[in-house]
Amino acid sequence: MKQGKGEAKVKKRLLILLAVILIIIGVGSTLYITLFKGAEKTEVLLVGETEFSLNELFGTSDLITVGEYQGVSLVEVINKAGIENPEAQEYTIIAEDGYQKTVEWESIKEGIFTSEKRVILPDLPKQYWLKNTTRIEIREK
Amino acid sequence: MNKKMNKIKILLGVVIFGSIWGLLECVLGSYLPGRVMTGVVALGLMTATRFIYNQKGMQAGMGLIAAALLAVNPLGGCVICSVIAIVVEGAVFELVWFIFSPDIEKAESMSIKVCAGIVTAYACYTLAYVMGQVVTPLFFSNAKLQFGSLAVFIPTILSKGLVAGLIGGVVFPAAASVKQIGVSFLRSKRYYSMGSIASAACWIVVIILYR
Repeated sequence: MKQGKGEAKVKKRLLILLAVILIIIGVGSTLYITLFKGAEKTEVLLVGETEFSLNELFGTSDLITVGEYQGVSLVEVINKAGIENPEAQEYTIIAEDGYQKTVEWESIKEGIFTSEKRVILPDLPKQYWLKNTTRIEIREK
Repeated sequence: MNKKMNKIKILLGVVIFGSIWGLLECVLGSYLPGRVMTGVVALGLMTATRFIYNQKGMQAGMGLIAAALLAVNPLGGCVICSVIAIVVEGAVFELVWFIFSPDIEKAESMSIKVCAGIVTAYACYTLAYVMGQVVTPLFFSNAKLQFGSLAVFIPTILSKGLVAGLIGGVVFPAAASVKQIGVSFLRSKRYYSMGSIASAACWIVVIILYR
């Protein structure tokens, strides 16, 4: 592809401008997360309308093992939260940093919540295994 | 150089460097964060080969070979996520070079190389991440795709992309500087034999270690 000197100069400037814009966007996003999302750090798990402290959750539940992870069955957590017709709901699992994933009951049935606040869903890829989970929102399908 | 280079030489280059890329993803992918893998491994290999071979489309081909190698690695977590990410990285690299190619290829100033590294790595990482999130649920019936969920996480993706971009800004000039070494390897009589052995070794290592 041949181009004139003028066009080449414009493209070089565009490349530099684009790099600067991306750095500004990246720095701005980092500041936003640090200032606003960091405030959500918590030692509780909110399931629907019910709030569990981690001590409460792990002190009153049996631990089960999934692969190399150990934690509380998500079925037990959902039951303790008093969710009716759990199979008719879909579940949005939300992490401290805002990362969230929505899954079906079939995945929740196999899943656990670990003391490191990680949700393990063995039937789904690891991008669904949220770290630092703070909330599970539940709504009808 | 490009006109004189025969197609078999280029094709072998795609297989050699695609296999090396795939091997590094299999070995290091579980230990290093995605933004480091993109900034160092993906960008480093794609940039170096682009300067050495000066062949359009080669990096997309390398992405496909690396993705194929990952597909035989069942211990690497979500195979489909990694495959999507690598294919997208290869395609985005091609896109950025399609837009800026003569300027990047002939770039002699360090500032252009650094900026090219930042733009390429940032775009590769963020777009591969988003595509992975969008496409993966299509392969799992229990997983739901919600664009609202993705939108909430956009600032985090853009923030992580900054790390990939800054790494890219360092890696790109370094990878571009290996051009002379690479070209002499290309001209060497042992290119075909060494290249074939290196590619086969990558596949054998992954199959033996991970299968």
